[in-house]
Amino acid sequence: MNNQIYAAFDEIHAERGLKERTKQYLAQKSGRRQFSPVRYAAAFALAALCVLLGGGGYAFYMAPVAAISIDINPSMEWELNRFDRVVSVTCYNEDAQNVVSGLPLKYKKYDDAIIFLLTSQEMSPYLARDPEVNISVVSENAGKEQEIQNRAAECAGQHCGNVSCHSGSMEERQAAQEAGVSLGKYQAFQALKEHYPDITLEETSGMCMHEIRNMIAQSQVSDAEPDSGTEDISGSCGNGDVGCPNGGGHMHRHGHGHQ
Amino acid sequence: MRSEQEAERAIELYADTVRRICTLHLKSYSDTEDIFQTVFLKYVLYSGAFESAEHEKAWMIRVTLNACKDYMKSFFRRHTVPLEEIQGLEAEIPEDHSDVLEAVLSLPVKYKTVVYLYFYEQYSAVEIGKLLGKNVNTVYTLLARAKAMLREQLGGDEFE
Repeated sequence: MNNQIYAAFDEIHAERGLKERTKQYLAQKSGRRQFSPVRYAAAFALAALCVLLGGGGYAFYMAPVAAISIDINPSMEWELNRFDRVVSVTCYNEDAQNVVSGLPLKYKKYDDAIIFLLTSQEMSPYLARDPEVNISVVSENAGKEQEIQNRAAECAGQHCGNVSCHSGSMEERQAAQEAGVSLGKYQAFQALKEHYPDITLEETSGMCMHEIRNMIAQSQVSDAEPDSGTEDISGSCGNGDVGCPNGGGHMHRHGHGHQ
Repeated sequence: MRSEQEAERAIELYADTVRRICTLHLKSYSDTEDIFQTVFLKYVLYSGAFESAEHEKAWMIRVTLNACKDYMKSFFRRHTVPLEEIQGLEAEIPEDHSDVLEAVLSLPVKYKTVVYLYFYEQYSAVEIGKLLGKNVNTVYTLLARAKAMLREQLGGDEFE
């Protein structure tokens, strides 16, 4: 039985045509699957291009073209990309950090971000007494700068009664950055220095905008009065005025500019 | 993935084995061709290493048996009739020993597979058990029954 069954099976052979067609089929399949060095190179080039485009696109998107400095007492600066989106937020004092830590401002359009900031619960203690909201805008493109300034003033004005908007120069911004203060604070310092030449940036950086403006206003009033000896310069941030680091306290300075 | 040369070597080495298993299980030549392509494509795509030539051959047999089984179970196969069958053109059976082969092919699948592996591939019952995932005693039983059926079909004592 063994031999007969063996012999019967042994007569079965794969036909030449069957083998050839199978070889062709496999060659076709493997040709589709196997990558030649050229294909590898093409795939690598494509991947590199994707990385390059992705990286380039990201860099293009994240490149700042304008900056907005917002100073109330929280002092912060936002950088905006060419699509008017906030791409970075820099806090210049602890109050700003407290506010910003709970707010997702990044990648919002700057006008939405301003409204979001000014209507947030985190910001409400600082806006309770209608303090001065100082917005300074800087951009290399003057048209863009004006546009942002107008829009920012409009948005902030909807929620705060005392908004002042300014434009700045790139040099001022660089100087502010080097001094470690926001552009708005730096500009306020420059203005204050005209009245109080011996005031330092360090002193100014600790004041809220309301205090700074009050000091300037006081100085202007004093200039109008002939006897202006030692004076008590009281910031209009009253006692308990949230956000003023001096507790809305009084600034005592002896004499002031224009001597 | 294996190279084209490896695929050609495997076809030259195992084409007859695959063809024989296809003859056992399939009725039409086009089915055989489908299984041929499936089995050798699986071989080409298989990235594992074979310990020996015997291991490789056993792998080919196992894959072919599974492919045939899957093919027979497939929806398409169960709901269509091969053209050859309609025309009475079954897969070619060699004329010599055709009665023996026909008798083997007429056995139920579980018997003819064991018969092929035992009588032609000369595997032991233990090896067949491992290959098919069956108990050795089951293999012995299948072999005994298959022999009895073949004896009956092929004329009793003459077929010894």
